[in-house]
Amino acid sequence: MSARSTRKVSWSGVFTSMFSGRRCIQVAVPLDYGIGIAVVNIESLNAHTWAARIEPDAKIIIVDRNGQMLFHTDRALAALRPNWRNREPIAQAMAGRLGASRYRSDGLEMLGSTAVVAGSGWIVLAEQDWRDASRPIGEVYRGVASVVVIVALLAILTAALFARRLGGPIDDLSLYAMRVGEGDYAASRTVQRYREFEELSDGIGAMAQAVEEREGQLVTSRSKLVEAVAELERSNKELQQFAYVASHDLQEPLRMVTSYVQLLQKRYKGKLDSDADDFIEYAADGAIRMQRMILDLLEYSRVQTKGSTPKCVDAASAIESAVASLRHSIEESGADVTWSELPLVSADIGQLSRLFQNLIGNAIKFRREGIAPEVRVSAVLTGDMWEIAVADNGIGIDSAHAEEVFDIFRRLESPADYPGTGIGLAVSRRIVERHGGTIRVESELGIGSTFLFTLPAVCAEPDAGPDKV
Amino acid sequence: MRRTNFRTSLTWILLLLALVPITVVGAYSAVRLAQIQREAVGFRNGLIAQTAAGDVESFLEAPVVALSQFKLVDPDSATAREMLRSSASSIPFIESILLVDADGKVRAAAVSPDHKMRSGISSDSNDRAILSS
Repeated sequence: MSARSTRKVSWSGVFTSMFSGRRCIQVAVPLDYGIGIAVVNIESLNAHTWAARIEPDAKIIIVDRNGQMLFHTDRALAALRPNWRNREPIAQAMAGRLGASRYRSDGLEMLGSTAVVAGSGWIVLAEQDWRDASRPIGEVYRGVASVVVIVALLAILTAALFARRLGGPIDDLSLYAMRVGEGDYAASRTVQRYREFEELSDGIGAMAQAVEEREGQLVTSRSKLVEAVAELERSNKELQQFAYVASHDLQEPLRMVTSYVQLLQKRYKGKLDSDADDFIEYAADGAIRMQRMILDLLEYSRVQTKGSTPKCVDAASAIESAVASLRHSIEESGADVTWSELPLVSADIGQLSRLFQNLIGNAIKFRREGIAPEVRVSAVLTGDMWEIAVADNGIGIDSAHAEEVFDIFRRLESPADYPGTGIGLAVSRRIVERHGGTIRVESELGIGSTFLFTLPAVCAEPDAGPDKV
Repeated sequence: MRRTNFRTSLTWILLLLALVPITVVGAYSAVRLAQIQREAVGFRNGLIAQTAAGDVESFLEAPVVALSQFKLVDPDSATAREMLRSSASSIPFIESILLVDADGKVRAAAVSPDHKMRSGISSDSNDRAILSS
């Protein structure tokens, strides 16, 4: 044995005793004359008290310094005497790293701690399966889960009660507000348990009362408005009738006055004194002018009263008609009237022709000295309306008067320079407005004017049998 | 657009208010508990291992002490034989004791009384003869 050569106590590996058949080791102690050897039955380690002290789930393994198993709580395994030098905690202990470690063994998570037996160098491993060790934790988990479930049930119950307690008043208020919204201002309301809801209920009640009062005022105002509108319509109708009747019925006496004044002028010119001749001439001029104004007024009123139902017509044919009517002044002024492709519009063809006639006629009349008039007519679709532009190179209009030019009998130029009554643009605006459109003018003094008006673009092809202009 | 029901929302909110804290605390407790349990098991295993190591050390110390008393005794003497007999019978986990000289010759030996009976060995001389063989 090594004790003889090293002179130190030494322990052998495990062997089976020939006497007892049990697992034994030999202990060798150096003596003066040789060595003393004792064969020790290590199976008696089982009888030691620590074996009973250990945890029921814990296992104790003892290996010698080479990793050879000396003892295992599982005796059957110990009898096989396996070598555990490669088992993680044993390997670490053999490498000098003692203490607790966590490792996997045969697919199980194990917790183990190692210690070294002084002198022999044997390694003691106490290990426990984590599943067994964590069994109390599982019980805690189950306890926590039970508490969570109980709390959840209580929370659901509490939440349901709370929601019901809050939701009930809200439902009442919602129903009350709905009934008020439907016009039932005197709807009964539930007395609320909570102050905030009661205030809200009061607020809705006050609002209902205010709405009811305003609704009453509104009804009164509306009935007054209806009456006013009816009165206005009646008044407007009477006015139109008056204008028509006045202008129509005044024609006959005025024609008579004009005829006799002209007769006086013709028969007595030079036979009376010169003042009488002048007076008669003034009277004749005034009568003629009044006659013209009355005719214009009649035309203005006829836009509303004598217009025909708008139909789908070609705007180009209306221009052609207007140009034909203005042929004389066009030729006389040397005007150039052109138009691009024009659309189909919903209009009274007669009034549309009259509109073009007014605008083109104005363009020729208000031309610049020594410059031949140029009139360009074009159209652009904007939404569901056609915007038609009539542009000229005339004297232009001061932008400050851009709106006034459409007033009836409104004239910006002297009648001596540009004869006329000032009814043309007023009639034009009336025609456009009757068709549901608008008219405006963009102009620059000395450069020219562009009159833009809109007409509905509601038709795709002309109605059968177009009206004659 | 269908709006969320007030009561359902309120129920959910209250439910979450009640469950979230307890779930968080429960989860944290579980994790912490597992950690503490691991540490406790590790500590307990360490204590067991150290206790066992101490016991084994004591266990191994007994035969060493028993052998050490023969250092100054003549192995051929009656005293040595008497001491051998006494040691073999008093220490239950010792099966046999041998005193071997520097040449490897067994000078004295004793077998535990239990094993003697089982193996049929009846006298010290025979013991020596058997063990020498």
